Amino acid sequence: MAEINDMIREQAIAWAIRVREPDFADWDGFTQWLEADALHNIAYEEALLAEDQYADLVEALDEPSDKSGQPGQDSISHLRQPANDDHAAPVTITRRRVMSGAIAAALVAAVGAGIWTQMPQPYDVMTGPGQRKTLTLSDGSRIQMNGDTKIELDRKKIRYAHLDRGEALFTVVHDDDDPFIVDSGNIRLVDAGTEFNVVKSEDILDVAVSDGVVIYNPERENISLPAGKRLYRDGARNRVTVSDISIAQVGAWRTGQLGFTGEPLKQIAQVLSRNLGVNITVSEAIAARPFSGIIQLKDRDPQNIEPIAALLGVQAQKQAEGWILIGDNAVP
Amino acid sequence: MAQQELQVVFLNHRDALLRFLRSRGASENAEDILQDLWLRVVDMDDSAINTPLPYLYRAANNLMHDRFRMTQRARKRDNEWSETTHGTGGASDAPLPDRTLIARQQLAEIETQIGKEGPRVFQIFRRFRIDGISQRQIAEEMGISLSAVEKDLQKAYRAIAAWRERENGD
Repeated sequence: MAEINDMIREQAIAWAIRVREPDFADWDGFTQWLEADALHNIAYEEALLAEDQYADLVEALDEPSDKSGQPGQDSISHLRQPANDDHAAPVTITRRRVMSGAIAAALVAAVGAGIWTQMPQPYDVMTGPGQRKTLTLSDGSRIQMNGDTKIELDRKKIRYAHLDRGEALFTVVHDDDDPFIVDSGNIRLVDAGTEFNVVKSEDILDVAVSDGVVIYNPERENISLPAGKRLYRDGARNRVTVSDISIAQVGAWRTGQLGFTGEPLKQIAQVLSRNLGVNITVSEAIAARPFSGIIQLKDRDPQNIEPIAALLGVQAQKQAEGWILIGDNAVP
Repeated sequence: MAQQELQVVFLNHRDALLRFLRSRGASENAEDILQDLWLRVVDMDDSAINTPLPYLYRAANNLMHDRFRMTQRARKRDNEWSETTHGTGGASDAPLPDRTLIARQQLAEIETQIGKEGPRVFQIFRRFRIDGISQRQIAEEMGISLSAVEKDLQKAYRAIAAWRERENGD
């Protein structure tokens, strides 16, 4: 049976604190976290009950001690309720709302699961092609995963992620004393700021920064990438290029918009596969041909690649599994 | 007109609010609870509300928490009733002065538990939860970073959770 583990509890506490802030605005992010697992809501309520219990005790004990013009009758009637019962509900309502067995069982499990070890507890999070997922870490950092992406995390190392493949946008809660680290293959990215997108596919690593600063391989090249910069590493040729990128373009895949600036069609096909959930390959003859432009995927039929192929200036041919992009017949 | 802005925002974000209520455990009651929220919004003078959407979410969030507490209380009451009838004794049997004592003792225990994380942790938690001061303001007051405040708050919450676990778990 699923139960509330330490990771969920930590996340719930982080959310309880964030949501209580007067100017909290990330209700979408909060909804997404709650939706990811029904236990999240129970853990969140548990975190609220904990802080309530303290506040209620303070309130219950402060009131009787404040004797200025307070009739004794009031403090007695206040204390007749259990300590955390500050605005008692009519019994007729509460009696009918008996907690379901499943929730009660989950709460019992939550109370029982208090063992904390220091051993590494790695775990993988994966998305299938065309699938997306948002992870919220217990420090409040967020990882938005695009399709066909695999990330390794560790419950004992909250400020660390390893991007095995695919694409993710990291929105990191910055901490000078404890920087967030993203490894991908033998490349290390260290946040000195907040938001950046990383794509890993075979030999390519593509990093784009939309907020703050990311340090690329601090122990070796030590390249500092401020917001609006993009680093493209071609591992096969061992070449690193740094260029400008519009901040609005970073992580634009989330809205279905894909921007390209001269990437080879082979790579673009991978990007399309990841986003559409359809296998798309490229014929050898045009694999290296570059493309620049923006492709809007929103409202597109993923089963029909032909209009996208037209944008790329090529033709799409249906295959047993997915599509292949081939050179336009008009071009010799 | 300002008077209607909250209602307009409500209607424009109806689906998102419904989705939020469901994610907060409203299940099949989500529509009813949303209606409840709407009735509160209709009669409200919203001229003092600067950010309507966060306001609506917060109201929805509080509604769900109140409901959760109600359910908890009903459950607790049932448990206490059965404990009393089975003669195992329970907090509800204690005479009133003892209950004040129990509350004092509980508060002292929780404060000791939080205090173990350091005096600053307790001070920050108290400012945040009892005085309702924002983390940014606490950071400024104490001359420490925002993330240090957040970390200390997490420690305090964890400490209370650990205390509750010991208190409620057998």
